[in-house]
Amino acid sequence: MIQAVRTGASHGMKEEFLGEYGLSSKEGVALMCLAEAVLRVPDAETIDDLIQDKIASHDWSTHLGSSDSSLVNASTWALMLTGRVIDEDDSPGIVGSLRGVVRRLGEPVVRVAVSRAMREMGAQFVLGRTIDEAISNGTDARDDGYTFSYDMLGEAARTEDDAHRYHGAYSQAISAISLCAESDDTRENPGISVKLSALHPRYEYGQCEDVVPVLAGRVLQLACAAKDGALGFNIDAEEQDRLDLSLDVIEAVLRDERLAGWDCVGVVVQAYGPRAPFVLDWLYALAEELDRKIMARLVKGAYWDTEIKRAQVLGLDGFPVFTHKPNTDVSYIACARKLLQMTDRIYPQFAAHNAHTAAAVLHLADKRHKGFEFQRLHGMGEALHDVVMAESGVRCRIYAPVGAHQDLLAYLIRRLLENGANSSFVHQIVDDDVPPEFIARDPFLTIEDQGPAASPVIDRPSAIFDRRVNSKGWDITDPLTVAAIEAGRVPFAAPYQWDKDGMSIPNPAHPDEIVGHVVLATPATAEAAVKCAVEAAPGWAAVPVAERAQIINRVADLYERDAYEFFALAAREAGKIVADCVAEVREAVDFLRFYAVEAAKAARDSQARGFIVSISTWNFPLAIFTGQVAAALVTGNAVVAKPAEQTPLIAQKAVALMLEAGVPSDVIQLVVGDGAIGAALTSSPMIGGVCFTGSTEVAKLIGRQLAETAAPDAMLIAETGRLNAMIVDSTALPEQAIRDIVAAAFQSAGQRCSALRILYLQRDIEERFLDMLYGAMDALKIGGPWAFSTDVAPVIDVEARDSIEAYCEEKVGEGRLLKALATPSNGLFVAPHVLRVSGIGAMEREVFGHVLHVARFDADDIDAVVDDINARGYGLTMGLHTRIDGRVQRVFETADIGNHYINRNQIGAVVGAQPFGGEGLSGTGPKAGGPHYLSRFRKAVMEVVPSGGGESAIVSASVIQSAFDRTNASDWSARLDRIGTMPRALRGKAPEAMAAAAAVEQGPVDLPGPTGESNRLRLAEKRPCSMSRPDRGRCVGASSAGFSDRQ
Amino acid sequence: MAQAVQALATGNSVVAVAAKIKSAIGPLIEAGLPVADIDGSADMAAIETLALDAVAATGSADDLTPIRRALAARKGPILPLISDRISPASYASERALCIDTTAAGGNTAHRPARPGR
Repeated sequence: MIQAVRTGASHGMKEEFLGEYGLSSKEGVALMCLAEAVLRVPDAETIDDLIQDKIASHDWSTHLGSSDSSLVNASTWALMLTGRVIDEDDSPGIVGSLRGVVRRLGEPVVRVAVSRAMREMGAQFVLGRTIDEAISNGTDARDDGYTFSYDMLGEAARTEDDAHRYHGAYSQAISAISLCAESDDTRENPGISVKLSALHPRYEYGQCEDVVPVLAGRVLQLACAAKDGALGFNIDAEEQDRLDLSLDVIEAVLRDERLAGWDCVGVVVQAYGPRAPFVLDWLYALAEELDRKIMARLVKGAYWDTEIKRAQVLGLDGFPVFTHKPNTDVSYIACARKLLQMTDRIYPQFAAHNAHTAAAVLHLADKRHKGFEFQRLHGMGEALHDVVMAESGVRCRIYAPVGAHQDLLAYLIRRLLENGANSSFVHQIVDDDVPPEFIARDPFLTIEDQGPAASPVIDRPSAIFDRRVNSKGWDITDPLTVAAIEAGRVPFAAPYQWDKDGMSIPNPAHPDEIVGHVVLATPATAEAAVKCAVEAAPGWAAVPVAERAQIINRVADLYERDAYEFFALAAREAGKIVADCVAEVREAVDFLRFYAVEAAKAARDSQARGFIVSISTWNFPLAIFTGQVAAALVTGNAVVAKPAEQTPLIAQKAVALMLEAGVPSDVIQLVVGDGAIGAALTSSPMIGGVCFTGSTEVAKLIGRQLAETAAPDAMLIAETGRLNAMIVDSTALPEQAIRDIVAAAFQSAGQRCSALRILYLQRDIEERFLDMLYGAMDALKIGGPWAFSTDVAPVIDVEARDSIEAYCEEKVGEGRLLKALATPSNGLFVAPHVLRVSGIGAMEREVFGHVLHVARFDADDIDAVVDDINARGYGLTMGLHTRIDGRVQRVFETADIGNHYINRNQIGAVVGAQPFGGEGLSGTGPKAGGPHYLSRFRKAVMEVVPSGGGESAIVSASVIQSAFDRTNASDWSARLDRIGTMPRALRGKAPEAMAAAAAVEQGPVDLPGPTGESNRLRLAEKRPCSMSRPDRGRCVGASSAGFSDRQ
Repeated sequence: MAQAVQALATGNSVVAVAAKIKSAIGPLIEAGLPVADIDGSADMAAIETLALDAVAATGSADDLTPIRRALAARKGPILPLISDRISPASYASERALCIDTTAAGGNTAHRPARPGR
């Protein structure tokens, strides 16, 4: 049987694949990317750009140092099409011919041709655009003996409107399919599959209390209709973090009286999850309890890459899926055996495209054929299942996507690209070099040979960074983790108070609740702290760097030990929602461990600066505080730290743990007070430097203070104001962009340095995107931060609330309001707002809260948008949603912004992966959590510097200006051979400086991080401080370093 | 000289103002690099008002303090004084790029490129 299946399958499938996609792998990826996006783009101009990007030119990619699309990690498609396809590289292929066509015919013709080609491609993946078309297109297959399960999937619902629309589509489909349900035995009839994420915009564990009853109600309606029509009714499985929630919904549905006696509710179980057999046991027990029969579709699983990435990003203990493909194959067979012993209660449906799996099922099933069926995806595994059906007589059902191509194709292609690499059977079967025996090899034997169960290729979440342990994460969609956090916070819940003496600190969500007390510094105590630090600094600098790093690492471990107390503090003192509390502790831990690793490198050939003043903000009361202090400490400086007045308690706890870890008490001192205390600290003539996060105005004051009273080489690192933009063009996928816009603008009540303030939407898509944005906002939960379900919590204090509200009131008065949410009246809540603006130039200042401004741009104006953003002078974060690689490259090279984010939100920078910090008016650099940060906390070992002395002529501004005008800098910054050219010109002079310059990686350098994400860092010339400068045009991208050197 | 080399290496253009600068900077100018030299010492008003993006200097505290004060008096972004002789990253803007490679259907099965491996 195995041999027969194997032979038949390998011929049939190969023909199918090569017939359909006779492309080289690179071209295949380009075409798939084109197909993913092109059908949803409304405007001709952007379609042309997209086609140009994917077909006509790949030149841009050489700049990024990569030959493939930077938007897609495309090895999948390459794998799927390995082997003989590559031999055909000499032939022009589809992309080659299209290039010729582009040249010959011009863009309008090509646009139409490409759109038609994409629709053809859509027909390969989608059975029909409407349910009627699908039923009619399925006639041949039905004649061959197949039945169908129709699947109306598309993107997940982002809004209630979406959910109602999908619900309506399911209802209609059920009516239409019912007409062709002719048998009394439902198993002979067609069925329908529903996706729970399409039926509720907040299908996630945090919202379970609201979601389960609503979703169960919606599913029941559909299930009852399916029952009336004698259809199979299948509930799809999605990501593993929704498994628990989905079982709650399924249980509620099954328990409903209206479905009593009906045995055609189906559940999908994914064998790649180690929980799969337990889910089967649970389902069986439930069916037993209800005295019902149900159906179960056993699949291998469709979200493997998403699961791996998620676990790595969240820093979880392990993966919710098997990391080795053969483990999943074995799990599948084990689950199949289990299912075949449950047939008194469960009707198994085996969905598999792997010959060995199919043969194994048939072997296990023995002669009891009537009790189960096979399933296959439309367009896949035809040959295999033709053979299986012919030889075994087991019925087979085709799982068939139905829907408009522009809605469905993007989703299907993403799934296919995502999973291709792991469908080893599918890609191996087209490769003649892989012998059939190998393709159909026994996964049990593979596992026996493979050694450890975990794949060595997949880094465990704790190990994704090379030289340090990733911070521990908490998955707040895991009921056990949620219970642990809840229990861990109990001792610190109200009315618990941290410290009894001094000024009281209120809870922003409950202004009457006192979180704790803090003793304020006086100018005298601040002065004493400085004196103490100055005296302690030399001793600490003399401690070996390895020992300092060890202490800092110990602090990280203590933070994780006391994480629950930090969660409670961040929620009660800073108003942080649970997800933000977790992120807060993780970022702090990452800073500690990253700087501990980097310290040795920074210590080389340098010395500590002495004592450093650290001034930080309330919006990341632990992470920023810890990052600044840890960097100063590990580089051998004594620190006087002034946390924000709003959040001193969490800083106090942090310092207590630093002391416990072994930092001497005179080396880290906490001083709590207002700006006057800050001024007292920074005016010490003994100061080695200031590390500051706050407003641009205060930063400039500190700069002036240091210039007056400190040594001229005193350090100033400042992270200051910003106006962060996101650009969304018409190739963006609305569901992804809206998810990211909502997070970037509204999470943490917009109180993040990185938060999105102005959204640029391309005119052609604006209306649809705004509707979806408003709908997604309506789905946000505003409430106290302690509750796991809260999305938006109060702002930090009365001053913040009043200032944001006054701003919004003024703008509403000007008629700029697009959308505002209602808010609770108690507590310091502010309604999230969306306001209309003409552009970033019209925004007078940053409003530090969840106020999103929206501007529109025309398709050909994207460069002008970047110019406007540059002209505003800020430069912290920027988001871009596009499928056009060339646009990513261009914006990255032309926008003077510190942190660029593509096709994701622009918040939550991860230490080491996304070094974080702004330029221009947004900050001085270097980037926190980056490779250059620590060296700024050190200075050169004393050099013998000749004094100025002597008389020399004063060179005026105009002379210097004209010297700049004479320098020909037009292409210098763009030249890639600078480091190569200079030594020749220098003829061996300045060897030390040249070596240092050559040793700094100009980039782009790949940084470590989770899989499924590309993180890069490059060094650009200094950002121009003034856009109005007349010579900017002449020195494009270049700028100038004024220079006075007496050597 | 050392500072000019590092500033040039990250793509900046440089005007070097110093006494007897010619001999040191000469070869770079001859090679056509965007660098100019002026014999003398810079007017502090120039440091305060010119459209400059970075200022580097070495010298005694007496030399550096006026430059630092002129820089602090500037409008617009804060320009730190680059006073270490060797500090190549100080002449650059760091730009980070993060792309979600799964957005358009990428896969995650492969280890990302790692520096130092």
